[in-house]
Amino acid sequence: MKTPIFALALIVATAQAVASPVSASKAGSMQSALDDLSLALIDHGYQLVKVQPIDNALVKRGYADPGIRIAFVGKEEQIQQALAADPALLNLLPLRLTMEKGADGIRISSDDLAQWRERMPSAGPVLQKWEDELAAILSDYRSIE
Amino acid sequence: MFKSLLMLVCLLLASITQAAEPALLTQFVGGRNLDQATETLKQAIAARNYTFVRQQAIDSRLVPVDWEAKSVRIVYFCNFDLMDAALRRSKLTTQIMPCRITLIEVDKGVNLIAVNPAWISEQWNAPDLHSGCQQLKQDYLAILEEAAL
Repeated sequence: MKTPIFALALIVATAQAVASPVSASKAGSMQSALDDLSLALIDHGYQLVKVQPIDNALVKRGYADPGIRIAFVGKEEQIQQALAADPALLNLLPLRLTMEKGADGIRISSDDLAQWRERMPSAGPVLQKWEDELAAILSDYRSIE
Repeated sequence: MFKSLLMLVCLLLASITQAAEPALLTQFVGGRNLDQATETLKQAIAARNYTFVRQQAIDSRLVPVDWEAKSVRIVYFCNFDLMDAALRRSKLTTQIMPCRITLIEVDKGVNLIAVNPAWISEQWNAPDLHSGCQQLKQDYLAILEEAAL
């Protein structure tokens, strides 16, 4: 009797498990990470839309440096892909990459799109495509020397 | 046996509670165009002690300026005190920074849409962050409501 209950509990817990966003880390400065990311983006037909320097914005106002910048990235066709799949996806565009300065260099990670896939199953293929593209971009970012 | 059932009930209840949180917060602003709605939104942002950061077309820098979408605009804003406090607690909170509202012009007005930070925080498995995200959600709702007045 216990086994099926535990199995069911495990299924529920797994469904709520935290999914991992796509990420990549390597040594270097924030500027060199941005340069490498820009190259990787271009190779995949993406544009760097904007960098939000949260680190500079907070330091300028007297707060501690969190070592964080947000890179907004995308490509034109994603607008049409979002509209075709589910207009709610427009709220995800341009896509975001968080750049975090750590002891070993810069870690770049995407937002977690798994939660959106669960809420909007019909948009799953588009979200998976974007996630795969971001994974490829970050893989290239990691390999650029 | 009883423990197992209790655990199952707790998990199911948690699942139901989380499902109740909407992914998006929306507000319709009737009788205004995109520029007018943007201005009232910026006033509402300032009134709630947030700082306007920037506005852009949804396809800004993805197409030439003249080709940019005229009916979909993004407004970014933030509160630096809240941002600093959130980042000190967890870097996960970068996923809801800066604050953003998407404006979509339709026939008789403008739809304002924000991603619900309380929904986003559900995936973090960090209960200590959830109350802050609930507060941020209330701020979003207040801004959306005020922008529609």
